Formats: sequence, C-alpha cells, structure tokens
Amino acid sequence: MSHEKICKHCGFANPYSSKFCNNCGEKLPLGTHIICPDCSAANAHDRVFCDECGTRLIPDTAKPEEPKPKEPAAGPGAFTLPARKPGETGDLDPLTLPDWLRTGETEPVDASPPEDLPPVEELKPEKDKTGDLPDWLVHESKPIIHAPTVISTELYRDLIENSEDSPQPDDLLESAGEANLPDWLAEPESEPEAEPESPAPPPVDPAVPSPEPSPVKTEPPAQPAADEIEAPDWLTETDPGSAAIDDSLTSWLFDLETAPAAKEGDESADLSQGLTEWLEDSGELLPEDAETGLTGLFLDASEELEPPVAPAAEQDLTDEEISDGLTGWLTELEDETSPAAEETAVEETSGLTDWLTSLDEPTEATAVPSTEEPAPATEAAVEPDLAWLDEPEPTEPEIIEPADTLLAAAVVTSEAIPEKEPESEPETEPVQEAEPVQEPEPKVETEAELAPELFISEEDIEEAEDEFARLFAEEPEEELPEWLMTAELEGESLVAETAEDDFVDEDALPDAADLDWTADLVDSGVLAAASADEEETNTPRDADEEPDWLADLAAISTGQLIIEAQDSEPELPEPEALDAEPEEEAIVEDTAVSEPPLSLLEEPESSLEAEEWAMDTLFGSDAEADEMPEWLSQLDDTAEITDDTASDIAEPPPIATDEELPDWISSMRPSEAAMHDSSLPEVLTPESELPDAFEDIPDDLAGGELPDWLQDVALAGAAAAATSDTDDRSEIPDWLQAGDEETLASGELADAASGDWQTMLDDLPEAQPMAEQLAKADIPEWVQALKPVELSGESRAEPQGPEEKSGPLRGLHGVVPVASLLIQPHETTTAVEQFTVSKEQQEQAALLRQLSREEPAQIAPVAQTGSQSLSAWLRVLLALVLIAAVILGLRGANFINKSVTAVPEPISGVHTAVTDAAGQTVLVAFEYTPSLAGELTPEAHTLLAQLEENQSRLLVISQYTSGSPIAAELGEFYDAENLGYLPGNAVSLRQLSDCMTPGAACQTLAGQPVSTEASALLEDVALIIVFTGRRESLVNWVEQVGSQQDIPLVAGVTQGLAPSAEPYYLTGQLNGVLAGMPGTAVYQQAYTDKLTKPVNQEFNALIITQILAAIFLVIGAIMYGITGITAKKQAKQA
Amino acid sequence: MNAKKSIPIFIAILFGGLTLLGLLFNLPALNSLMLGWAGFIAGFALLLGILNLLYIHSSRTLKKKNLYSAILVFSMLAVFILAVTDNMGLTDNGVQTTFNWVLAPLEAALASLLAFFLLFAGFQMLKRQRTIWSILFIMTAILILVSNALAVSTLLPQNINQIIRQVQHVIQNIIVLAGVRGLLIGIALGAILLSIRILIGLERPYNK
Repeated sequence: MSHEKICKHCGFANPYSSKFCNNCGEKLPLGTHIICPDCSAANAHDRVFCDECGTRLIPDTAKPEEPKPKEPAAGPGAFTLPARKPGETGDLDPLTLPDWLRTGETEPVDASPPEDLPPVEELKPEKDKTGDLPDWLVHESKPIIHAPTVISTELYRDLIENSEDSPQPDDLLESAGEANLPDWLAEPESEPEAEPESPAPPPVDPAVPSPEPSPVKTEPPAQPAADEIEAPDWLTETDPGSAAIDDSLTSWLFDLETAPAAKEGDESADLSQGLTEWLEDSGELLPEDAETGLTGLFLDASEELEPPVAPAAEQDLTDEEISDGLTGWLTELEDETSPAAEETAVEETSGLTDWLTSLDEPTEATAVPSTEEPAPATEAAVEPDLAWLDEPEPTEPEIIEPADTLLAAAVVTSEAIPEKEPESEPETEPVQEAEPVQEPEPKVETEAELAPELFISEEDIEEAEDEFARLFAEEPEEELPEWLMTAELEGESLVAETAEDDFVDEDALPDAADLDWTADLVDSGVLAAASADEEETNTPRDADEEPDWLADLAAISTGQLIIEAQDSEPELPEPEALDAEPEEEAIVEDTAVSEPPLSLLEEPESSLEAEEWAMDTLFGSDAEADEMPEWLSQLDDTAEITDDTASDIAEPPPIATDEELPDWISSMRPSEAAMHDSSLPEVLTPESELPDAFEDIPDDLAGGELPDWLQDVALAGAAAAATSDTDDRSEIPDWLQAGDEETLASGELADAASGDWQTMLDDLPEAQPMAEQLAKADIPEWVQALKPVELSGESRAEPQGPEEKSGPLRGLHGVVPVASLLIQPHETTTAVEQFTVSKEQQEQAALLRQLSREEPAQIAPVAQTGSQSLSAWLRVLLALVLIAAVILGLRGANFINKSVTAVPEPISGVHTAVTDAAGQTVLVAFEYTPSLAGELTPEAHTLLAQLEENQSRLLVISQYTSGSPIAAELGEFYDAENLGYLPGNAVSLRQLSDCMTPGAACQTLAGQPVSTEASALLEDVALIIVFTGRRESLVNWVEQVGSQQDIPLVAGVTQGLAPSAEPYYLTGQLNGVLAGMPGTAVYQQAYTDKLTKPVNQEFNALIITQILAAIFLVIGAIMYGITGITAKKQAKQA
Repeated sequence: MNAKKSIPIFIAILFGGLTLLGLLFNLPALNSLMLGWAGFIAGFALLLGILNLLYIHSSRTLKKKNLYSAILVFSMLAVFILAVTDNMGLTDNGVQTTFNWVLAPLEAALASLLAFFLLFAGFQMLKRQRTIWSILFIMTAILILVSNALAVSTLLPQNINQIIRQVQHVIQNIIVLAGVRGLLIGIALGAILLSIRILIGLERPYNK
C-alpha cells in the first residue's frame, strides 16, 4: 500500500499529510487514512493493523462470530465434558480438560437445547435469576451448575422451600454441638425465613398449573419429619465405632436422628436446605454455563416454589414421612410408601406439566426394571442395552478397584442400580435415582407433580411407587445393616475408603435398600468418592419422596434427570466440609470424581455415540438413566420385569458398535446370545467365558492402554476364570449369590448363555487348512521338468555321450565341446528378422558399392571458355594497340594543331610569373617521382628553359626521396642550386618558408646545414614553381609556403591533377597552372618559338593513345552492353 | 590514467598549443624552435625507419631466405654504398645513375600499366555492371579523352574543335572543379576538426 493520497481530480499522488493536491490544488479526501489509536500513526484506509505498531485499527466486528459447534450436551444435559472415544485409554490428561473443569470455575455458555427437547428457555421459567435466590442457595465462591431442564426446578424449589421449614442441619448440628459445619451450611439458618415470602414464579410450561405444586410441596416436609430413629440405625451401623462416620454423614442427617423432631416445617426446611446445599456444592463442580443444569433447576425451583412450599410441607409432611425421607425411608417405605406412593403418584401425574408427562416413555423404560417379576419376556426389549453391559457386572467389583475416583464413581452408580433390583423389589431405577436428591424434602408425589409430563407418566409413577413400596415392604430393615455390616467387616471406614474400596463395599453390600440409595446416588451423580457416609446420607429418605423426584429422574431419561442427579453430586462437598481428616482424601477425590458424572450427564441423548459406551464403561456413566439401569437392571429384568412393563420399555440406548470400539474392547462383548440368555453377571456363572476373552489380552496392553478398571478385569478376570465357583461366589456379593440361588431365571439364563455359546461354537464349521481349500494350479511342464528325479520316481537314464575326462566337468557325460564360434565364421541358423529394403535404399547401396570400387578419376583441367580467352586476347590486343599508338605518336604523323589561337589563363599566368621572375631567384620543387616523370619532366624542361633564358637563379629542392634525383638531375642540367632532400612535409615546408623570409638567415633546414649562399638565395626567391602530380604536395606548398610569403607560386601538375589545382588558381593562391602534356604543348606553342621535339612526339603519341582509348571504351561499352542486354533477355526467356 | 598514454597526449597538446600560439601571434622564434625540433625528430624517425626496414628484411633474408627481402637489402646497401662512394669521390653520380636507369623506368612502366588497366577496366565495365552510373562514367571518360586529344589536334575541323573545347571547359572547369572544390573544402574541415581533436587529446595518432 502506498502512503499517498491519489487526487481524484488529476490523479496525482500526494503524501498523506497533504490536504490539498500538490498538483491541481484540489482538496483531498480526509478520510483516506486511519489514525492508530495507539501510536497515532496514519494508516491507509485499507489497513486492518497499524503499520507502525500493529495495533488493530478496525474493530473485529466485521466477521460475525461463527456459531461454535454445539456441544453434544445441549438442553437438559447441556454439559460438555471431555468424553473419551472408544479405545482411548490411559490416564486422563488434565490439560485436555476444559478450563472450567480444571479450575472448577465455569464460563457461561449458551447451551442450545437439543432438537428433541423443548428449548431451555421454555423449560426454565427464569434462569440466571440467582439474585432472587436465598444466599444460602447461591454459593459465592464456586460456580453453581444451572440445571438445563425445568423439569425438576419446580420440584426442587418445592424441596428447597419445604426444606426451609424443616429443621436446618446447622440447627441440628448446633444442638449437637457440631462446629465443623461449613458456612454454606450455616448460612441457610438465617435466610430461610425470607424465602417463603417470595412468591413462586409461574411455571414455565403453561400446562403446569401454578397451584399444583403446592400440594406436592406439602409432602416433602413430612418426610424429613419421619423416622428419626431409623436413620441412625443404619447409619451408625455403617461405622458404629468411629465418630468420623457421624462427621462423614451429613450433619443434618445425623441430627435428624438424635434431635427431637422439630416443627415439621422447620425440619423439612432444614432438610431441604441440607439437600440444596450439597446440591449447590455439586454445582460448584459443574459449569455455570449449564444454565439447564441442576443447580439452575434448584435455584429456579427455590425462586418459584418457595412460597407454596411452607404451607404445603406443614400440612402434608408428617414425622413419619420425614423419617422416611431420612434414614428410615428405606425401611419404612414398606408401611408408608405404598399408600403414599400411590397417592403421590396420582398427585404427581396430576401436577406434572405436559412436557414432563411427555417423558412417559423414558420413565417407562426406566421403570421397567422396577417390576418385580424377572420378566424374561422383557429381555428382548432390554437386550440391546443389557447385552454387553451385563458382562462387566460380575466383574464390576473387580473392575472398580483400580479405577480412579472418576471411574469408581461411575461404577458405583452403575452397580448400585442393578444391585437393588435383583435383590429387592423392582423399583424403578429413575425413582431410585431421584431419591437421594430429594430424600429429605419432598415426597414423591410432590416431585411427580412438579415433574413435567414429558418425563413422567402417571402410570409409570404409579408403578414405580408400587414397586418401591413393595421393595421396602418385602425387605425388612435388617437388610440394610447387613450390607452395611459387610462394609464394617472389611475394617475400613467408608469415609476413608477410596473409590475402589467403595465399589467393592458396595458390590459386597448390595441390599435392596442400598441399591435404592446407591442408585439414587448414581442417578444423582453422587460420586463414588463420596464414600459410604455420603451414601448413607442419601439413603435416609422417604419412600414417598423417592418416587417424586426419582420419577423425574426416571422420566428425564433424556438427560434432564441426569442433570438433576448431578445436582445431587454437590452432596459430595458437604461431607468434605463436614468430614473429619480421614475424609479429606475422599474429599479430594470427590472433587475429581465429581467431574465424570458431569461428563456423563452431558451426554444424555448421545447414547448412540460410541463415546457413551466408553464413558459408561470407563466412568460408569450415570448420565443416562436408561443405560445405567438397563444393564444393571437386566438382572432385575430377568426376575422382575413383567411383560407389561417390557412392552412399555422404551428403546434402549444403542450400544456402541464394534466398529466404533477398539477390537480388544469389542471382543470383550459377549455374544448376543449370551447377553440375551443371561442377565446375571457372568462372574456368577462358573462357565463364564469372559475370562477366556481377557486372557487374550496381553498384560502390557491391559496395563497400558486399558483403563484401570478394564485392566483389572483382564487380570482379575483371568484369575476369576481359574478360580472355582466357590471362589467366585465368595467374591460375589451376598445379594448376588442369593440372587443366583434364588432366582432361577438368572441361573437358567446363565446356563442358557453358556449353552448357547457352546452351541454356537459347535455349530461353527471346522476349520480347514487353507491349502486344502485352494484349488491346485497347473504346474508348467518346464517346472515339472526341473523336479528332481528322486521326487519324480523315474529311473535314472543312462548317461549318454562320452565322458569328460578332464576339467571341471570331468565325469560328466555328453558334454558339448566348446565351439570356436568366435574364431570360425559360421552361419547362424536362427531366423533373423528380415528388414524390408526399399528400392531407393537398394539404389543407394549400389551406388555406394560402385563408388567404393571405382578408382578416383583424375580431375581434368577445366578448359578455358571462349569468353575467357577472348578477354585474355583482348587484354593483349589493348596492350598492343596502346604500344602501337605510342610508337605511332612518337614516330608517326604529327596530329598536333600548331596554330594555337587562344592560350588558357592558367597557362598564361605561368608565363607571366616566369617572365616576372626573370633575373631573380626561382625556387623549383620537384615533388614527383620517376613514374610521373614522363608527363612532368617536359613541363619542367619547358619552364626551366624559359627561366634559364630569363637568367633566373634556380634553387631546386624535393621532399620526395625519389624526386630529389630528378631535382638534382634537372638542377644540374639548368645549373640550379640543389637544396637537396627536404624531409618533413608540411613542417619542413614551413621552415623553408621561414627561411625565405627576408633577413631570416637560415643556417639549417630540416636538420641539414644551409650554406650562406643558399640562405641568401632563399631570402631572394621571387617565384616558386612546384611540379607535382599529388594533391598533398600541392596543398602543402600552397598552404605552408605560398600563403606565408608574398611570393608567386606556380604549379606544374599532371593533367589529372589539373582539376584540383584549378581552384587554387581561381582563388589566386596559384599564379598559374601548367597541366600535363597538352598545357606544355600549348605553352611552347604560345610562348616559345618552336615546339620542342620531345614534347611534340610525346603529345602526339598521347593524342593517339587517348583517341584509341576512347575508341576502345566505346567498343567495349557497345559490345558488353548489347551482350548484357541479350543475356538478360535470354535469361528472362529461359 | 596510464602514463604511457598520458605523456604523449600531454606532449602533443603542449606543442600543438605552442605552435598554434606561434602562428596566431606570429612568433617566428617559437615557430622555428618547434619546427627545428619537429624536423630533427622527423629526420631521426626516418633514420630509425631505414634501420628498422633494414633489420626486418635482413632477418627475413637470413632466416627465411626471402629473395625479395634480399633484393631490398641489397638495393639499400648499394644505394647507400654508392652515396658513400659518391661522397668519397670513389664514384661519380653513382646514385643518380642508378636512379635514372633503374628507378625512373620502373616507376614509369608502372604508371603506364595504370593507363592500360584503366582502359581495360573501362572496356569491360558494362560487362559486369550495366547501370546508368557506369554508362555515365564511361561516356564522361570517353568525352574527356576525345576532347583533350582532339582539342589540340588537327584531326577534326576547327569549328568542331572549338565546340569540343567548350564542352571540355564546362566539364573540367565547372563540373569537375565544383567537385574538387567540395572535396577540398571537406578536406579542410576535416583538417580543422582533426587538429582540434589532436589539440584536446581526443585524437591520438601518435599512439597507434
């Protein structure tokens, strides 16, 4: 770009600083440059960045920001956690995680809802209005997860609001003298009062009537008020001896046990606060951008539903219900939940919004496993989900061991669900999942009412509640302590246990009740690192509550529920704050573990992707309520799923195909037949072939690429294969063993699976070697000929030919002797390609052959042509004619006209000059050579004779080496003073001219000494006569001598030089010119008495010669002219 | 600048300027001095030339056995010896006799051959080149020859001779004189230009 302004008027390039054109004065545009805001440098208008400092000149708004690729998790589960693709194993690279995951801080991101789900804006009545929330709900330090869905917002609002009325954990703790409560637990104490005052905003979905939530809300408060005694029972059993357990437990749960039942509303409020608080903490780990996240739901719920909660809770909740919502909710569900669930189910369905109720299908799917009956008929529907997920089940306890906290958490969730079902009543998993979130606060009914119709159907809720009631009705309270006791037997604190331990314990302690709350944990996103304490805190929930929010979760199989479940994850931080030192490790793990569920929650609907499978397997995704319960619930399905429910089962999430998965992982999948036939973990079956499959996996691969849990599977699976059934059973939890023994279906399925597997193997055709399958090819004969005789079996032929006696071939017969092919000429028998020879080539070859044979002919001299001979003869003739003419002129008749009537002026001027120089010194220069002597010497004699007659003193001189003899000869002849040879051309002539100056007294001339006499004569020269036939000599004399001295200068020149001398004569530089023989003849005839004989003869000869020459020229011109014309015509004619 | 070139240029310019000053301001002493040096140098140059010629042809005679070179060397030495003997009085006009009997007839013969060759060339001129200029050239030559010969001869009547003389006068004194004058003027201009170039050092004939 040029730093110039181009004038539009004249096109002149002006500097940028110019305001007017330097050429035409036209005003220049001012806006042709952009002033840099940083350095104030003027930049061209087309500059984007400053030329001087690089500052951006144009705001970067020209380009509309390209819409970022939508994160896979939009809508309810609008979390995009880094999901690993199938096959990616190994440690997670923290650098690859998003910042908000690493730092715990979230960035607001617009999560567009998925296409299948209603937009988030519609689902959420008011999002991001955290300012309306109570402070205790809003965590300042850490970001809060905004639940993407609105489904549970109302629900949790009710929960929160109801919980405000319930006794706060801090209150309880204070009563218990606990000082370890964190601030977030302490804060709610002061604020719940104001919360109920805020009117609940209208629900998003207009289909949901605003007054409906109120009855729902009335129930949760009753739940926390329920069993206070039962909670400590199972909680204390988990770790009776350690006070840390109490710490690990949520204080409010602990207090609920001991503290007297406060006001129902207060208790419920406390409980709700306690829930919300840990939900908030879970939100800390979740990104803020997840406006559709759970926390958002909670916040929204708190905002909208706070006012109606209090009264409803006070009215509906009872102490028993509260106890149900706490520790005793598992046990007392037998008594209370059955009717309550039915009621709540009806209420829920009535209170659910349309969009929530529309989620019947997913809830049904989730509710399927809740059916008590094994329902083998449902296998077909569940097969796809359960097929490959069944396998990891038996190995899950082992798999979980090495897994990190993330994996452990996932596995816990995955295990918890199936554990419930085979043992206890087939409660719907979603219901169970939702329980931990809503444990203390709302009843199932309220939640169900709040839940949108999209997610929960009335029937599902009813069924779930029924099953839930059956579950607790069948299993006594003592079952809970059993698995908790097993945990105790392991001698480790659940709090201090790592995630691995947790998984093991959980696997080993899968009671029906445990399954319930563990499933809740799973669905709610509770991390494995939350330890048993956290689980315990989740377990004490009312059976009535469970159906409510669990129904939501179950209904929100699309992911919304999962996100709600994530809200439950914040429960983890609570124990961190509450727990004592031994729990610190778990706390640390919780923070890390809390992430995987998020990632899982992000992919509620992306079950089609292979990542899900990987994530599920690796991290135990609790994100999808469908997948998690399905493979786990398959155990239940075998025994519990009914045909009716099976028909209602929604399509299971597709399993990642083998193509999407690594081979080694896909190979781990059992055959479909096995999956169909067995719903139990294959570990339980002694004939399990899974270990065999893992045997093929190298240890290196298992240790390097395989995830930890799979690595363990590979290793432990092999060991498990080698162990006996008793060993397997020893490792298998009791509940699973019982399930094997009790449920024939599972055993049958296992047998059937093994049988089918065997049959499949038997059906396979026997492998045949490839060589046999290939058709034999024909061997060429020449190859067969090479076959050794030994192999061919043919008898050896007797040697033929003579035997070689010497040489390296000695002993061989029939050796062909070496032929001297190169020495002796021979004819080749092989056919030679015949080339076609053309006729022309043959002729050329014949010619070449002839030329080569013929001897070189002697070149004959070229005979002269007639013209050449004529020319030669002509030359001779001319020479002879000229010679004859000269001779004739000298000796023949005189053709000179002696009667001269007029003498030319130059000749008369010569006569005048010679006459004037009579008696004076005359300098005669002979500037010619003997070649011109024939023409000039007559002139010299004519003039010298006349000078002699006039008694002039003669000085002769010559500048020609060959002229000096002539001068000497003539000077001697006419008694002239010979000055000799005068070298130096014009210079010497100049010196000579100086010497002729009067008084010069030249002593030397041209380096030669000059006598005094000669010097005096030079000064007295009165006439200079130059005889020359060359123009240079004449010019030098005229210029160097004649012009310098006022001395007459006469030139006697040849007839050829006469034209050159004529101008000098005409200008007066020459006084006369005597030209050639004709002039001499004229001069003699005119100024002498007689023409001298030599002159007469020579002139006469000259005339004849010239006439003959003219004749010859005419003849030649005519002859050659005519011949030339004729030749030209002939050429044209030819 | 190379001294080998600059010094001659400097000398030429210096003495050329001095000579010019002597001619312009009529300084005979200066002019005589310059001419004396010039003549001396010219005589010395002639001597060097003669010696160089003798050395070269002697070498050719001795080394290459060149006959013509031997004749040249012999002629030179003979004339030199005759001149010495003439001066010593041992011989009488030995040089002049040699000149008259050897050099003069030879040069005259060569000059006569010139007339013969010119005539023969004119005779075949139209054989090789039949152009109007060649024809004009031949006609002019014929006219000059005839006019020179017939004007002073008695072969033709006096009236015709008179006409021929007038034609000859027109040709020689008008046409030819005009051409010659133009030629001389050109030569004069060339001489002036050459002199200026020599004076300012642009023309360096002495370096050749």
